[in-house]
This record gives sequence, C-alpha cells and structure tokens, in this order.
Amino acid sequence: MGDEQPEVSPFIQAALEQIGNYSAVNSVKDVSVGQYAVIVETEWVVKLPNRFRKQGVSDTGVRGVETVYWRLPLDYPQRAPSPRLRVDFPTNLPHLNPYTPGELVYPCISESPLVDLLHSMGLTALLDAACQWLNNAAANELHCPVQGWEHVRRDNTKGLIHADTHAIRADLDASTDVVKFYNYRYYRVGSSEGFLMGELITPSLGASNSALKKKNLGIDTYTSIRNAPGVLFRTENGKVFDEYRPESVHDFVSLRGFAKGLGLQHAFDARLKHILAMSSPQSMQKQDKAPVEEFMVTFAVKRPFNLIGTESPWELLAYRVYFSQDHAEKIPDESVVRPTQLIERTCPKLLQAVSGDKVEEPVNIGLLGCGSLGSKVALHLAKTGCYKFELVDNDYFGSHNNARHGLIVPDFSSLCFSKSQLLHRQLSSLNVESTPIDKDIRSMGTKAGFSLSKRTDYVLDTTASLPVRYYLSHHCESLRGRLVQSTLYGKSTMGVVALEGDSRSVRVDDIAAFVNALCIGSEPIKKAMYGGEGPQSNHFGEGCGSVTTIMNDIDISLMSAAVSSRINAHIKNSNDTSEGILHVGTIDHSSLDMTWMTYRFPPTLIIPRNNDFDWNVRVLGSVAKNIEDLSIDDPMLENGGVIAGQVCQLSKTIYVNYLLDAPKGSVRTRDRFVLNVEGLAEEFERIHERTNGQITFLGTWHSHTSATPPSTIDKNSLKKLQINYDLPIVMLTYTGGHIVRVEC
Amino acid sequence: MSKKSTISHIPVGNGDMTLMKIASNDTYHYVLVDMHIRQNGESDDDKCDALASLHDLLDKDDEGRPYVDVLILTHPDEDHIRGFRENFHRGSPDDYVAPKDGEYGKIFVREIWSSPLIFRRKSKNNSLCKDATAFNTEAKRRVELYKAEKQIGKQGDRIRLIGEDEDGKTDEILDIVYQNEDVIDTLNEVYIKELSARVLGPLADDEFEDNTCPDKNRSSIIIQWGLASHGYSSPSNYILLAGDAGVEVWDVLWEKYKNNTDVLQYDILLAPHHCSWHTLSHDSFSDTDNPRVSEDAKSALGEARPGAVIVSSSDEIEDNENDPPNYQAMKEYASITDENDGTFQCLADYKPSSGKAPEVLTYKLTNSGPQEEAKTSEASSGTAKKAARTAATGTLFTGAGNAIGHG
Repeated sequence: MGDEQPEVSPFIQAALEQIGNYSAVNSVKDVSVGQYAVIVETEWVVKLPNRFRKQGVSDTGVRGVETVYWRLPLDYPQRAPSPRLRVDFPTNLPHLNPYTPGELVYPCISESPLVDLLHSMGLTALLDAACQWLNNAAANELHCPVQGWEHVRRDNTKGLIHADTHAIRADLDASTDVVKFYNYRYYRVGSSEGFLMGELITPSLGASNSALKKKNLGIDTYTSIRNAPGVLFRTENGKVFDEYRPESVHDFVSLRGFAKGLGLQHAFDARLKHILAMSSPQSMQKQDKAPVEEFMVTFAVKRPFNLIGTESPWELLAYRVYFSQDHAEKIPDESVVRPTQLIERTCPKLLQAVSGDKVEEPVNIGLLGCGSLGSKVALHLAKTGCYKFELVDNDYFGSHNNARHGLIVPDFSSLCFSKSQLLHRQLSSLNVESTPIDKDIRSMGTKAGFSLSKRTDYVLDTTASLPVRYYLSHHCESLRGRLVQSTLYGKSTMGVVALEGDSRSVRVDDIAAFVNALCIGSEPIKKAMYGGEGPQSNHFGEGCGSVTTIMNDIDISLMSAAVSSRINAHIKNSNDTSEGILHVGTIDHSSLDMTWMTYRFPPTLIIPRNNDFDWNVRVLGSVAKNIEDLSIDDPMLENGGVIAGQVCQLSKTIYVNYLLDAPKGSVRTRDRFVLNVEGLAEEFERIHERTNGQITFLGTWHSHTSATPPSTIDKNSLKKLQINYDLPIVMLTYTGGHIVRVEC
Repeated sequence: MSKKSTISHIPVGNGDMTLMKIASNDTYHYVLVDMHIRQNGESDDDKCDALASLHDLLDKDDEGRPYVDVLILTHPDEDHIRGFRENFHRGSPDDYVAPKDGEYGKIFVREIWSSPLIFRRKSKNNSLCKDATAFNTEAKRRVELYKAEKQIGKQGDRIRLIGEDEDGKTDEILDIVYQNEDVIDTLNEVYIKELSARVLGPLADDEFEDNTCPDKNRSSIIIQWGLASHGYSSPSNYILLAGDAGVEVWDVLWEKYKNNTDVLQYDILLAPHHCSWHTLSHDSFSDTDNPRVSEDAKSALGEARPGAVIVSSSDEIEDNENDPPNYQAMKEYASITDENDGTFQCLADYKPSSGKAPEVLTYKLTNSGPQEEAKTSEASSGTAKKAARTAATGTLFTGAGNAIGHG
C-alpha cells in the first residue's frame, strides 16, 4: 500500500502539457511522480550571447541546452511549481536560493513569491521567468546595477544579530579607518551553541586598541547576556570587489583566507592578537570573570554598486568566531566559524526606506499634547523616519485612554508615567529620537517652565485646548519654529490643520476665527462644530472623571491619519509658501467620503490698540485684500459694506474675517457711501444661529475715492453705531491705498 | 525586473528600419534609425507589418503620444524615410492631434539627427521623394527655431546635425552640430552613461579623391554605437550603422583608421545598402566579367568582434546577379563572420515562428555582448504582457490583477 503512487490531478496534467509546449522547451525527457510532487525533466534552450553560440557554453558556465527540472507540488495550483538545475550548474552566480551541495541547484527566478506570480500571471509567467533567468545567467546579466548587488549567498547562517546597518555604513562613508571595534552583545538560545540572539551596538567604540576595555567584557551574572568584542575590517579605499562568490568561510583557516583575499590579513592578525589578549577565556579567568564563548568579525566589502535594498555599496559580512578553550594564544585553524546574519535594526533610515519618504536631516517637531490625536499623529510621522520630537504633555495616562490613544498601555505600566514619557518610550522602540517634557505647556518660555530646542522646525499643537491656543496666540512672543495647530471636531467628522504664516504673519487664532466663519456657508462644518456633538462629562471608574467626547478609536484614527498626511505633505514642501494655510476636512461616516478644502491667507492686517480704543483689530489678510479689490473696482465711486467676525474679550482682540455685501438700496457716489441696513438684523440672526454666536456684527467698511482721512460723517456714523451695542464697533476706511480704523 | 537595452531590426525588404531601446537610469530611450513603412493597405501576409511592429516596441508619453527620443535619417533615400509623412508628427509640438479610435497615434519625434544634406538644393544627385521632402521641411523648421531662439528648444523642436555643411550653412549653428570623431553620450538632451556613439560619417567632400559633389549614399551618417548594459558605462556592445555608405566611403575610412581599428569594430553590422555589391567593390557586378572586391573596403567592414552578426536588411538573397541584395556580397560578409564564429542574417529569412512573414529580430545588449531575445513572452516585450495576461485567465483565481503581498 505504501508504494502506491499518488494520483496526478487534471491541473497537473494541464500544467505538464503547458510546460511541454513552452517555446524554450526542446523536449520533455522524463516525468516522475513522487510522494509530494511531480518532477518534470525538460531540455531547455538557452539563448547564449552571440559570442558563445559556436562553443555552446557561456563564460559563466551556462550551456546552450540546459536540463531544467520542474517540481510541481501535488496540490498544484495551491502551491507553485519551482525549477531546479543540474547538480553541477555554476554556483558562483547571484540569485540562487540556498541549497545543499550535491543537490539540484535552485535558481531564484522571481522577486515575488512564485505562488503569487502563479496566481497573478499564470504558469507562463513562471516559465518566462525561468527562461529569462537562464538567458541572463548566460549573458552575465543577473547582477544589475539598477536593481542592486546581490548579497553573498550564504547557505548556512547561524544566529540573528541586530545591528544599525545604516549607521555602520554611514560610518564607513565618513571615516577611512580600516578597523573599528564594537560591543557585541549576545544571548544564547537553549543549549545549542549555534543559535543565539545578539546585537552589534552602534556607535563604534573607535579604531584604537584602547577602545576595547576589559571592564566592559564578560557575562552579566543576572541576565546571562554576554558582552564580547566585535571588530569590523573595511576593504582598502578605492578598491572595489566585483566578483560574486557564494559564502566559503566555515572555519578559522578559511576566515583568514577570506581576509587575505580582501587584502586585510595583516590588520586581521594584529587585531586578533589584541582580542585574544583582552577576552580569551584565559584572559577572562585572570580577571575572575566568566569567559565569553565567542567574538564577532565583520568585513565591510565595497561592491561596484549599491546592494539590493540599500543605498550603499558596502556589503557587511559578519562571522561568529569561537575562542578556543585550550589554546591561550591562538585559535586553531579547524575551529568552527559561523557566518551570521546582520538583521537591520529599526531606525529612521530603515523607516524612510520602507515608507518612501526621505530627508537629509530629520525635521524637529515640538509636539504639544500627547493625547489621542497627538499620539496618533506623532506615531504616523515617526514611522516615516523623517522626524525628531520634543513631546510636551504633563497629563497622566488613564485606563480609559486605551480606548482611543495611539499607545496601548497596561494598567500597571502607566503608573507614574506621563503621556509624554509613554509616547517617548514607544518612539524609542522605533529608535526615533524624542525628548519627553512633562510640563504645562503654558509654562513654555518661562523661567520655571521649559523651552523648546533652538532647532525646532515646527511646533505642532494637538491639544484642542482653548487655554493653550490663547497662550500660544497672546502670550508666546518668541515661538520656536512654525506653529501648526490641529483639532478634530464633531466626533471626528471634521479635522482642521492650521499653519501659521511665516514669522507669525498669520496666527492660529486668526485662522481659528475664520473656521467659525466657515459655518455660515457649510452645513457639514456647522454640524461638526456646533451640531450638539460636543464634549460630554463622563466618569470612568471610581473617582476618575474626565470631560471628553464619546467616540471610538476607528473614527478618530480615520481623521488623524488624514491630518497627519496633510501635516507631512506640508512639511515635505516646506518652502512652498509663506502664507498662512488652513486645511479643513470633513467625512461622511456613512459613505466614508472625505472632502478637504484648503484656504490660504496673506499676512493679517494688524491695527493695534491705542489710548482711545482698547482693542487690537486683526483683519484677516484675505478680507483686507477683498476690501482693497472692492475699493479699487470703481475708483470714482465710494464703496462699502458690513464687516463681521469674532471678538475675544480676554485678549481684547477683534478678528475681522467676514464681509457682507451692502444691502440693496445702499448709495454709492463720488464722495459718499450710504449703507442701507434693511435685512441686516435678520441676516445676523441667521449668522449667529449658524456660528453659535461666534461670528457677529463688527461694523462697516467703506472706501474713499481720494486719499482723505475719515470724515465727520464717518465719525458720526460710528458714534451712532456704538450706542446700544455691547460689543466694540469697528469702522474701516480704505483710503490712499491703506485700510485705517476710524476713530471718533 | 530591471530594464534591458535592445536593438530591433524590423524586416522591411530592401530598406532599413532599426530601433534601439536604450535603458539608462531606469528609463528607456528610443532611437529610430531610418524607416521604411508601407502605406496603409499595403500589408501582406508574407510581409512584416512594420508600423505595427514599431508601435509594439514604443512607449507613449504622458500625453498619450507614441514617441522616439531620437530619429536619425542616415540619408534621404525613399527606402530609409518612407512613411514619415503619414506616421510621424510634423510641426509644432503644440499642434499634435490625438488619433481617432482604432488608429495609431502619430509618432512624436523629440529630437532629429540629420545630415547637412537638408541644406542642399534639389539636383540630379539630390532629388527627394515626398517623405524626404517632408523630413527636410521638419528638420529646417527646427533649425530655424534654434537660429531664432539661440538655444535648444523643447522636445519636439530639437535637432542635431551630423557633420558640417560644405557650403557653410551650419557655420552659425555649430553648437548643434556633431563633428566626425565626436563621441556622443546624450540623447534628446539627456546624458546616457551607457552610451558612447562615435561619429564616423558623413565624410567631408575633400576626403574623397574625386572631391566632387557627393551623392546621397556617400553622405550617409555612419555611427559606431558603443553601448553598455544598463547601469554600466564601459561599452560591451558595438553596433555599426552606416545607411547606404558605398565602397569609396569604406576605402577612405580604412585609410583613416587602419591604425586605430577599434573605431570600426562591431558586434552587429547592418550591411550597408542592403547587402549591395557596391559597398564592397568599385566594379559593376553585372557589367564586369570578374568584379573585384576592394580590400580596403572589406577591411574596414571586417572588424568583427567574436560572434559578430552581419544583418542584411533586404529582400531574400538569391544566387543570381541581383544587386541589392547581392549574393556575392553576402558571401564576402559571410567570410568575415565565419572567421569570427559569427553569423550572417538576412532579415527576410528570419522566421523563428515558422510563419510566412519575417519577424522582428531583437538582440538584448548585455554585459557579454548581443544576445538574441527569446521569442517567448519575456517581460520586456508587449507581446509578453498580453500572453501573460491570457495565461492568468486560465488559472483558478482569476481577477487577481497585479496582486501585492501583505506583510
């Protein structure tokens, strides 16, 4: 019963026919059915480069006719067929899968998994890929500078060593030292001496022998973590190694031979002597320390072009070398050396490479607020690898924060840690630089408080806190970096990103006031801001209270991702404008349609307070421009209209951010403008309703046809307006190319 | 899969049509040397559809226009420029008209390379067919733009001249003239590190013994194309394209370069003038009893590298006195390739799929020299994409599209 041949499915039958009919296949020589797969032996025609056609074999050792074995799993097409080549096929070619000598050679014919290729493009795509691979192998075209240099094929690596390979390569570019010492830290897994977890710690200790200190070597009694020497040798400057060879090092004598081939034998021998003197078992015993079992040797070999998946031509080949327990002065030639794999440690460069964003120097963000929105934005930005952070928040993480925060914090771990510290801890896992500052934002810039770094490029306020906005707008004179403010409204149905103008020429409070004005014409914005979805008081657990808005993590994540994208895009194109910018996004939660609008603001016109009028007037740049345009539209007639906006009693600031056309019946002459007020009261009723009373009547504007100061009529009208109105009234006049405030 | 440079010889009977697709900086740059495209309705089962083949090989730009980066007319004979009026955009780039449904778009020529023959008046030695006249008009439009603006214009307005005009018509535009022995590494104002194209002709009138006004064949553009594999800069492929350059040209070139024969070497030679006897001999094949081969010309054409291919872009070559293609000329070329383990290939005979019509012969330009492209569905060809898609519909899981793994 055991010898019974498995049944060959109709799918395999069809595949066999397809392989037999493939254009490069001369003939099918044999089909055998095994326990797990059907093996098809085919005679395959390879297109040799013209110069090798007569001799029938290329200089890379590929023949004009090759035997290709296709292995079809019995559950094909659930799993993909794969090709094999003759046992003596040249193995000094790149793009071969690891294999055991004596077995059929297994070419790596596709960058994507074969099963994916099969299911997306069909069996022909696999046959084409094999055909192309063989033709490229014959023409010495498997290496491609555009794709990158293939890493040395290593069929038998042992151990996983984490290393910041980007930092090591950057160091190789920056320094010409032939040798660098590193701390090599490892932990043995189980009793096997072959497998271990380790880390090559950057930055390097330096090039001199004295950099390696005895006191730092040995086994940690409590953790059993070994601290051992690591040494890196780089090939001579200007020398490029362009011959591809699979791994050949397996013992100490072959390691020395490899070093010799790279022109590094003398450096290797000299440093080996030092390492033995410092950290051999005998040396460690003299120090009464438990000896480490091994050390690490890494060769940095310069290739003719960048390695696949990197932006560097330096190939890092690492080996674990065992100390001999018997020989004090040397390592026996036959001592086992294990090629080991350096696993790229998570670092900003890796994050950049994977996310596709690139910067020369990270952008410094001062993040104000590490709550739900702030943490998510910080994590999104951090994962691009393009940012460094100062994290400001003095609030502590509560259990309920787990419902919506970017972090997941076990209850016990959150004790005694501020949100900024917890976020810092998370960013550290990405090896993204950050500094936690658990201080009240409002103490920023004060003696007892804190200040952001001088290198801060952007200050990102995600607190949604009106006191913080007030502080940043009115009490923070020397803000480092450009201020960006982001807020979510209406259960995250609306997101706002406001970017101040250059040198605070447009401030976030100007833009925030404008957002209120948007409610007048936009139902989704009005609904989000004043639709009754505001904060509610809720209690979570005994004695734990919080005023917050009830919404789930999904909704807040949708908008915070979009907000992050806006911020990231703006910073990447940071030189695009000096204007203030507002992005407003709304989402329809039933369809998930998202709509974004962008507004740009020229510098705000500031009319400062004086002894007679105790209010600062800030006319939004776009409104001032509108007044100017309407004034010069017909320079022979006076023009005018109504101004509206927001009033901040605390800061004594009037924000002019909305214009209403003069109602019908208003009179415009060469020396007079008469505003008809019919219907204005009703219109302001409507505006108040839509903006929750935030946008209100502020006064009037009009133009003069010549550069004359405000007239007596102007002043009298202003006086009349001020009677019976509990808010300050502003009258603006466009005269002589400027906007001025009329004073009584 | 990384891009690979190729050269494609489109079989057009007695005529030339060669497309080089040069991969550099992960982009293809298209160079079309000559064309011989029959009019619509002239398609025939036993002829290759040159226009369809060309469109299969080309890409379209962002505006949906099929384009070539450089169009080179070696000389203005009809069998080298036929089809230009009908199939290529002429005039300002802004006037490009999108094709009707089902029609090929006009091919947009980003830059023209022309000999200074465009400045010659019509004469007995310089009569032009309609396509050549249209080419002349377009080339002159571009020259005039350059003269007016004193700077290289935008794509579609650019032109380079290969060689100086004997009557001084290029004196004031020398900045856009490539001289003999210049090595060109730029196509359509883009530096191509894989390219070293050496200009060998047209030769100046005073380089010939008779020093008379040249005929068009004598004025053919001759370029030795040195091409490295994608990403490399040291050429590993040499291609010699010389239009219809005749025996007197090759005599002069041998005299010039017999001590520096590297500039004449090739992996692929397009046999000049469709394998004409007049490329190799001063004697008429039909009017002379014992026509003799010019040893100098044959030497100049004999710098074949190992495995070199001499391609005859011609009708089938029969054992008779026809010229071109000429049977005896073929034998002379075959003697050259035999010495170098190479091959002689007449395009009319290239039928790898055993059909009636000859097919496009494409070589990949590799680190080991030219390598015939497999007639499978290799990823670089348009046919390949179609074939692969067809195959995908036969699998169990259709509609996967270009599936992307998750990780």
